[in-house]
Amino acid sequence: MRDYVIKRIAQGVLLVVVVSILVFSMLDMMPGDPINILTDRKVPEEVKEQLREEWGLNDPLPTRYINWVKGAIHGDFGKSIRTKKPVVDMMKARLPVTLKLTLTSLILDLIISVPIGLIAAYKKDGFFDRLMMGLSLLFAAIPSYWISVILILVFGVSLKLLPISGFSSAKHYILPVAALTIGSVAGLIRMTKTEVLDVLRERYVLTAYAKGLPKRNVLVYHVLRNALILVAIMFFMSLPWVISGAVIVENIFVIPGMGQMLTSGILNQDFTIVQACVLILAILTVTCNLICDIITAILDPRIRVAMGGEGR
Amino acid sequence: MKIKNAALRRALSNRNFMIGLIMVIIIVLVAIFADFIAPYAYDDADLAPKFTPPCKEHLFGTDDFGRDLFSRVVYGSRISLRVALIAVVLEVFLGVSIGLIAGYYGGNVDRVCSFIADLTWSMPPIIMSMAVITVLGKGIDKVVIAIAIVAWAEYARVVRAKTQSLKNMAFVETGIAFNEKDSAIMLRYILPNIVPSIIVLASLSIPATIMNTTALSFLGLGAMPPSPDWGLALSNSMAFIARAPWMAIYPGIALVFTVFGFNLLGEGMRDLLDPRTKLR
Repeated sequence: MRDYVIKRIAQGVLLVVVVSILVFSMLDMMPGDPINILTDRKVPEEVKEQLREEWGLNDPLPTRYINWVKGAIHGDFGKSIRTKKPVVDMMKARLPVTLKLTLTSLILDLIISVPIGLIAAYKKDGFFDRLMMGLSLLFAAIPSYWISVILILVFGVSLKLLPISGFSSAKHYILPVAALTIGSVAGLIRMTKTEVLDVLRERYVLTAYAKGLPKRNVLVYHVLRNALILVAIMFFMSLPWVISGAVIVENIFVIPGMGQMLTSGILNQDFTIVQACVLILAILTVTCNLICDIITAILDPRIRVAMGGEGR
Repeated sequence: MKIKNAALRRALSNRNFMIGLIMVIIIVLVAIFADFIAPYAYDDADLAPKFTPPCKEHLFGTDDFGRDLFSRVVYGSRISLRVALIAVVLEVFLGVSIGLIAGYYGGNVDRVCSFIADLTWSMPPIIMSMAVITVLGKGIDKVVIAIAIVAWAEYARVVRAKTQSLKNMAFVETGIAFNEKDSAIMLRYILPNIVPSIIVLASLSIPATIMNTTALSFLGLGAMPPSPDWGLALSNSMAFIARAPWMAIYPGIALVFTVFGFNLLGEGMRDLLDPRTKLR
């Protein structure tokens, strides 16, 4: 077990390192000279050269990468090439906003999807199951940004009930959280149902029935217990996806979070910001996947053996 | 002939498949005959006063340039379908070749391929595509490439697993015994057996591709004005949402109709061809 966990962590670290190298060198190939973003085109060449030196742009790529990593480990991601503010300060202000938004909607997601998925799996092919599967297929086809637009139209513009941009009060969070939840809940319902169906087919459930245990006991002690583990796994598995939904929703509701920072970084060719955001998101995603794998392995000894070789 | 009839009967009785098929046929016909269906060109400005509400001449109203919204929505279908088609062809090509090679050779080749696939999964697709777009620059064709670079791994995963299990089948071993070339074994012995799974994956990933590309256009990274792209149209509508709500409604309905149609078709195809294939 310990070997497996160590192996997975090593794989995860390697993944993050390679992603960071890729992102760093990819952004280096970005069209346009960063100096031209930093200053006016008319600035004399000597001044530009001095600036290049100052920003360390003359060093060879590996040196710059190592310097960047050294900084990143100490929480220094360099300065934004547009605003010239330290990226870390921008990040400190924005990461909590994004986390608040995504965690609220993820918890809502689970509260909605787990019971629905459980019932749909238990009463498979019944009316409720059919209705929910149809609805979730429909909702899976509605992109979160259109949901946001419609929510703004109905609650913000027509009914004038809720504010449509900003993040200053709890009221401001209602529409973005709703948009994010509606946009991601369909997938989670389907996932819960599939997983619970797998549990229901397990032999120990059959054994429990064969022992003559009442249906309710089997459901509560055998199926639900495993389904709760599933909830933990789903939480970590979905977090990166909900965050990527947040990227879009933040842009619509003008919420100053990581997503908006990343988007404006790309639009402004502000490569220090893009590097930092991508690195943070990669670490987050890899960590979440790692936690999922480890939880699964702890609970299911068969996987430990099967996963001895490959990661997936 | 009898087998074909049975397959046809199974297809006809699969409700998801049939409804999805009809919806997709409608979209494809609209895209092909856009020139006949749309009463105006998508970039014909000043046809009517700006922000004309839906009326007889302009079914969906007009936008901030006085362009006919119905025509723009109709022409938008071409963009979505073209983008989805090109991206899926790229994904299939990349994913299937890498998956076949990884599954067939195994060992270190497999380890390297799997690691590259893991790399693309180390971030959610939209964010990975955004990083790729930063390098390639904005534009709809670059979005297509970005999406394909991110999405091929899904095909590779499935193809790799199937190849591994097929490799030990008697008919493949016979081929190896007859000293067939590796490429022949992969393409003539193994590939034909994976085609159903690839079709299922492709039909499930078309709607995802359309969603992702329109999302990137919505964020201002994809299609550029005056393109009638639905994502771009929705993003444009945000500025006039109080004045012209129809600008926010119709492109969205078109988008949901298209994605829903493809989703149904994909689910149906999976039930018919390969019930066990799962999209992550």
